[in-house]
Amino acid sequence: MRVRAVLSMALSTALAVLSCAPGAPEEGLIAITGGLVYPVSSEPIPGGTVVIRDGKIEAVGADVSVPAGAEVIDATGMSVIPGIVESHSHTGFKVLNIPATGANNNELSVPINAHVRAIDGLDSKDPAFALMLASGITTQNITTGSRSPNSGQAVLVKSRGGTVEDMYFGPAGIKMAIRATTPYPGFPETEQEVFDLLSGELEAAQEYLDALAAHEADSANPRPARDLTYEALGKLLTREWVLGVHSHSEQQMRYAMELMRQFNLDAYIHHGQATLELAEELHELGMPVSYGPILPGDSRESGELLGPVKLVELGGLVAFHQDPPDGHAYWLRHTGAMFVRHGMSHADALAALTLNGARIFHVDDRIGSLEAGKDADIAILGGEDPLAYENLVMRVFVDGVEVFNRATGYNVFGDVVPEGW
Amino acid sequence: MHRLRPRLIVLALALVWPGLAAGQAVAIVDGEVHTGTGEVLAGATVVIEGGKITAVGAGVEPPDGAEVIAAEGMVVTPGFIDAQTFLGSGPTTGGALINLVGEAGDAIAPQLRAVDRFAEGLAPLWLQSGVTAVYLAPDPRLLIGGTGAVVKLAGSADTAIVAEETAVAASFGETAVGDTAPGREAPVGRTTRQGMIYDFRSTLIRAGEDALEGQAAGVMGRLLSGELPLRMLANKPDDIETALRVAGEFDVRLVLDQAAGAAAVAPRLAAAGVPVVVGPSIIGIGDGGPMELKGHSPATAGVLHEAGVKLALSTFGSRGRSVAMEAIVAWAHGLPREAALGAVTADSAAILGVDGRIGSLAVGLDGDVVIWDSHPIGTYAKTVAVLVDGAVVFSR
Repeated sequence: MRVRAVLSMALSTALAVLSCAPGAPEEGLIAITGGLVYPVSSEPIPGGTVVIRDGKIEAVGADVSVPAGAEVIDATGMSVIPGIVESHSHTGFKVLNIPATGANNNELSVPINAHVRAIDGLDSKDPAFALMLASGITTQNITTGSRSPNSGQAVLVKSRGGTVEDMYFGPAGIKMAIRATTPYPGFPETEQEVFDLLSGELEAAQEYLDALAAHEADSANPRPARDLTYEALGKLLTREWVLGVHSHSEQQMRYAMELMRQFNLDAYIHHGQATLELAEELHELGMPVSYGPILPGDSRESGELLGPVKLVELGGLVAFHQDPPDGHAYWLRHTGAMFVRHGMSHADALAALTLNGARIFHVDDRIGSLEAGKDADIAILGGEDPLAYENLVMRVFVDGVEVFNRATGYNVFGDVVPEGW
Repeated sequence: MHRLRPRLIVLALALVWPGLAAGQAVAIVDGEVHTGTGEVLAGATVVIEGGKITAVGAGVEPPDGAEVIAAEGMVVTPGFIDAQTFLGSGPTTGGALINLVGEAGDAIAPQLRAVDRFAEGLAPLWLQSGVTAVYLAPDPRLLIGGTGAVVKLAGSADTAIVAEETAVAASFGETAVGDTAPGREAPVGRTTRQGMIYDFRSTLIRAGEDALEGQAAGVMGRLLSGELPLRMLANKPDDIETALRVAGEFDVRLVLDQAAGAAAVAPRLAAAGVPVVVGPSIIGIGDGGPMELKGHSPATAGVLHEAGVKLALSTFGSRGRSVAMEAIVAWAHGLPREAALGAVTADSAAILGVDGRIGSLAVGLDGDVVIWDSHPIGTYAKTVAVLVDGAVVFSR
């Protein structure tokens, strides 16, 4: 696989040399020209140019000239979009296709695990990483599971290849779950008990923060012993971190909303199957929804999608997810058209795949749209409609580096994807 | 245009033959008619009388008194067929396998009949998505699971059961060897491939020697005589080749099911004339499924078609997903558009052995017709109306 990767890289370099403007090609300078460019933050640009320099987007527009020395990628007839953001993933926690065995995402020794970090348990060799690139996913929120009321700290990674450390992009807050699950020893058994436990722990974290503050104000006050759980939960209370709450039903979502309200948290819903019933209240509260997973053609397509459609119409924030590898991240892009079929505008559906996820995690200054100064995380698709199923993802760039090329078969994660994906 | 002449004659016959006028006559006019067999007729009309198609073509006049459905700017196709489902086997419309496991108590159960699971209105949402008929598959976790049936998703047993017993189902590979993931039932038969295949051979030998008893003897006899094909679930290329080998030893007609790894042996399948029921292609890993499915990709159908293999598509009953989407995804990954349509209509019906009743828009076949707002093999396609036996069972 290495040989193939190296060969394809050599080939693309050779092509770059042949196709660039006169003069020596400049390392890290790329111009994608002629495509229908979807900045997402603004209207689509027919025949637009995107200039990438040193991993960042330097310019986007119809009248942007190609800098001397740039590698030119002709995207005529194609679409150019920001890299897709998977807003709820367990990739690296489970080995692809062995659903229940080897799952590493649920620490079940105790119900409160704010001290547990996703980044400490990931396997960068999970083949799902490679598969996700074939769908144009450049950033994902890899979160701990939902079997405990509070499963741990999530992490944002970019599809750069290499180890988890190589892919690290930033923290993604904390995961909680309103769910009456199989009662493990010491676990709450009803949704009410889950809520009571979580709110009680947040109160305790507040006391921990108060004690720390009191010590800093006056060293006569004793310093509380360092507690990694309350330290982490404290970052929710100070709104440094975002809280993602697993909740499906209306009642579960109400508990999630109550947590946000009661502790003034920066929080969002994971799944949100009852979004239709709660759209107005979610919008009023300013609580985003990461909706999914739903695969194309699912019978749930008929009604459930109307919730996120309504929330977006009201002005609320919705991102999509496929919950890989439980759902299948390859189909994340396909979620967009699924929503268009049920009334969401094309622009809103594309935003829910890109910018909205970035906004939930407050990294929209870095990723999620094609704007000068942002990271050059870009996908090029084989036709002008990036949501159409027949327009496959052809090339993907992360931080200005090509990580996937369908034509050459290059995938930065190696040759681990079955043919055709 | 010469093709239209016989149909017009039949239409004329229909008008004077009272027997055909029993049901309300329906004429779907001015649509872009895709017959399912590859023909595309612009501005054409489909006439259904007494539940059967009596005319198809451009320039066909609706019979007197017919209900006329205007389909200008729309696409008209046969009702779609899902060539492998487990409907009726569980509490959900998706067809969970849960109630099937262990019902035989034996891994070799040719006497079980999937048709006995038939119920009216098995999957209303599938009907809305343009799927009008399905293959009801026996339990795929059994080495020999029994006979499969083809049924419609609308109508009572009298009209909805298209074929009571249309194939004998068998399963090679991990699905039958025992998916031992937590939460799954323990396997009921052998625990190795070679053990299973020994059992399979033994059963066919005993059937050939008339040593089987009861209904099992009858079913296996019809398999050996060639009356019923063998629907063999096999995924790994090696398992597929084993299926070819064993089928060859007993000279039985083979149809491959699921076939995730079939692309790797496509030329051999084409040479052997073995059709393949491909799917599911849209797969959620949480849907479970054996490790061997990892060879699967949405490009498999396209590769098989290119090699000359006859195809049908299926969802394998995955969470109520529509086979229409399987066709769209297969097309998006390389299967030509009309071939994708054929793989859920005419070709599927032929593989299922019911092409004399359903699967194409041709005179004499059942009036199972779908009207779409655009070509159904397309990202944004939606059904406008669905007819079964000439009756509108869904309209938007």
